[in-house]
Amino acid sequence: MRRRARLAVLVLCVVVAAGCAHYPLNARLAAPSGSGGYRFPQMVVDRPDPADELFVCLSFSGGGTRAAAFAHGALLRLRSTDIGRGRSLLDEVDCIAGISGGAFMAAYYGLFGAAGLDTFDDRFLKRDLQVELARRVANPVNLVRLASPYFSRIDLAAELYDETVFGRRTFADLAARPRPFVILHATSMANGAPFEFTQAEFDFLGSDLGSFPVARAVAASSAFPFLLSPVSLRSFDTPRGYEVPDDVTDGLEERELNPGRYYWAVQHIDLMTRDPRAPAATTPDAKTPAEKWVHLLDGGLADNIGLRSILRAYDRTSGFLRQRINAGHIKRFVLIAVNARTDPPETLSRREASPGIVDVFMKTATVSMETVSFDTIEHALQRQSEREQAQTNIRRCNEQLAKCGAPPFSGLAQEIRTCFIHIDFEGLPSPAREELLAYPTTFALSEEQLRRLREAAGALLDSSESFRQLVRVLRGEPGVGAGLEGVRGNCS
Amino acid sequence: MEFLLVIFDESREVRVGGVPQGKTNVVLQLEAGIHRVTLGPPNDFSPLEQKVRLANTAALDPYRIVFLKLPPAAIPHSPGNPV
Repeated sequence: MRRRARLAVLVLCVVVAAGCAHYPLNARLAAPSGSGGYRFPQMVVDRPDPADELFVCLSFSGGGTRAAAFAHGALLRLRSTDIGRGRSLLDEVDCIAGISGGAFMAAYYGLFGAAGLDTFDDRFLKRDLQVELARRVANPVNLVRLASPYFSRIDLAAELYDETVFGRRTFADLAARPRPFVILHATSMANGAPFEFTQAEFDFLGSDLGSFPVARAVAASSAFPFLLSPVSLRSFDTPRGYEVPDDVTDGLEERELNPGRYYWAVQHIDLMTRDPRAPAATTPDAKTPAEKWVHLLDGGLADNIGLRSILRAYDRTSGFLRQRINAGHIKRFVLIAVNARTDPPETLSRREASPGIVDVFMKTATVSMETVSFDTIEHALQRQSEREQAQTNIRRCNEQLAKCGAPPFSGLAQEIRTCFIHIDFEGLPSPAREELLAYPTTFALSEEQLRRLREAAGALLDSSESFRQLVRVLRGEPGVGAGLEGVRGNCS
Repeated sequence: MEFLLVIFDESREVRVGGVPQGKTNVVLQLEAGIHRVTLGPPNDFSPLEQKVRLANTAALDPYRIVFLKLPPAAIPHSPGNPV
């Protein structure tokens, strides 16, 4: 009898403990933030910020520890690249987009700066996070917590990263260093849309990003389907006075001409508890708080290279790049994509038997990552080419007008020098290429593998003609082909 | 990308979609689609806002819109108007 009572008490305790376990909720936004919170510093047209003249953005792809080590190597190379006046190219970095494994490096550098590059090895790269996570899962206390429907493996992973990698830092800490602006990405399960951990995105959730742990955003970015569960965010009613940005409302008005902007706008409205376009009569009782949750998976599902958020900042009217380009504040725009994609030996097509369920799961989770990555690289090249073509046309037109003594045509605010550099393992000489292309996507690599990845990033930048040209020009040295018209991506 | 030229008697901040976006009489590069364009203060111009649909423009053939500068007597006065 006594044993049964004890057992009953134990079961009751387990049920209560499980019921209490809940992932940490994002905070409600008290008032419309407008220009506050974690977003790129606002621009004043008549007061250019000298830091904008040379504008450098980096994107770090997904790929677990492999991607983080490769990004680490790229940052180390930028730190050792002297561009004169006592500055390194790393000092000029203004924004970093990070996905999954790349998000660890992006967030860590954003929080701890150049000094953090010396501690990243011990705090993240050299550790076996998979084993550490498995130990936490096996802990009886956590087993009880995991029984709760509101607490899952990803929440344990976020706790692990929070305590051991990011030192419980939040986005308010990240905002303390306005540059580089770090954009961490995840993917919304509801519609496959990319989700950026910025206050502009959290505005749609009626939520304050400032108190949100950076580790939780990184966990969302690396929540690989099937292996880890999604990170969930609550969408609150937006605070009174909040107005949907014009970029979104205008985007919704035109689908045929610019479907990309239209669906971007739709996806943002989808984040809100109520559709502001819906007539009041069709919405639930306005006094009843509407409930909505956004479940986030690995950012690589929507964009495994991390370029899309930078391209949105380039394309969208509200984008920090578009505003600065049109205002003439940016004179040179450099975009370096650090892509740790692999190409492991493919065996499925050598088998007559239909692939099993595990193979199908893995392929469905990864196959879209590759195709989307190539699209974004092409998008970046197209934007670079368009801008250079426009500048060349106006310059040549004005040269002809000058010959006739006619007044010049109203030009763009600033002729921008653009430079797009994309490094991946394909650029390595054999056999290093084959070796690195076969590295696994995991959160545990050997020290030798880490060393090779870091060295590869440095070697790939060093061997890039565009990168060498860029460094020569920034140092004020004469560059090969400097000033050549129409030479795309020459970084001159 | 598309091109827009906002013509005004003087150099003035241009706002597109509610955000600063360069200056008048300089070609702006914007996404295709609908945009709402206005100028920075003071509100001595007309109309106060223009809605444009950008498509099929070129750097040398941008979409052009004109804002007229109002004489002082024609400027509408309202609370908070920085005129």
